[in-house]
Amino acid sequence: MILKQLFLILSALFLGYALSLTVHLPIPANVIGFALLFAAICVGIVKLCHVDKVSDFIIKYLAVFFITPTVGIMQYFDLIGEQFIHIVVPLLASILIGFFVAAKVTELFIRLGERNRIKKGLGGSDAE
Amino acid sequence: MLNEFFQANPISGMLMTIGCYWIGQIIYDRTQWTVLQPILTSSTMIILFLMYAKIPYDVYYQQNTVLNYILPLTAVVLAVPLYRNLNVLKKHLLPILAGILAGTIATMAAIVVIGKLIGTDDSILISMIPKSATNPIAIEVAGIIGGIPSLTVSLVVATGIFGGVLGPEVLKLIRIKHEVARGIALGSMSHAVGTARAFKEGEIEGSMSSLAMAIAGTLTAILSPVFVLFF
Repeated sequence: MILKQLFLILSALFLGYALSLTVHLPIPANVIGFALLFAAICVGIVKLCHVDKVSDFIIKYLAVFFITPTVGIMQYFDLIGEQFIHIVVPLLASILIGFFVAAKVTELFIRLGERNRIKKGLGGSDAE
Repeated sequence: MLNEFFQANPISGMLMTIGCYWIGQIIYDRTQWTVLQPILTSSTMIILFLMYAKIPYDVYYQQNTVLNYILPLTAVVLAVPLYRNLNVLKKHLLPILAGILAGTIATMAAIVVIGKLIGTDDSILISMIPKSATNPIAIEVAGIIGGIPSLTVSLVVATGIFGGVLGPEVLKLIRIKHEVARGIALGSMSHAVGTARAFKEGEIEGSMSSLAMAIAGTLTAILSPVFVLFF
């Protein structure tokens, strides 16, 4: 079962690379693989129970795979030391601005949607 | 002595990665403190050890080849949580997509504009562009747009922690009460760390954050090459 799951997930990544090598899009092959697997599950070619166990395992331990590249930061300590303030300022500011815009725009569109529903006489409350 | 012993044994690097993560996970489970993300504590331990024992990064990197080789797979499996949250997505399709798109563009534009204004090094700014995406996507985007993948991964970790800690405070300050909006902001701006934080607030916030993380990552992959044109 695990082998079948691994095979299907690897196939999606394989097709992602195949597409990326032929079409030359500036989008990472694994993002294409992700989109392909998502589409395959939506259409029903692949069932969720065919890929869920391996996926849940990898997602649970996702961070383990990124320890090695994170440790790689030690090669750039000189650059970071020189530019510390120049890194922290745009990083923090962009996070705060991103939070503000994402939350405000989502809320705005929810309100607009509710107002439209009231106009149509369907009631404004968003019952769960 | 320590140096030669480490280099001679081909398993030492991966043993250290898994072992330090295990310790980091225990510390996080005990404290439940967002700042003590296992990836931060484990990477810090490893860096300190490598520097103390004077072991070059390349040696450590090569001894973790197995993990590095299956790393691209980690983006593909994000399809599963996204599919599981498809119902909540359909319910608020327009607000979710509009919020994530606006937030993703705003955060990338802010990096380029503010960075250019204060004169941040270009290689650092380019590495920072995909910082709100989840790491499986951000690391590949960094390679494509000419950033430094290691720097991007560290900035992604920093973004997750800053967003996970400061995000809920920002949302309180600007009076965002709707669960959907809170979840979308947390997931699209600070990926898995924000999502873990969102699940502490509630089920709706968590599901929203989880799907926002996958969608924001995809949008970041598509839009990052556009922002690099400003360099």
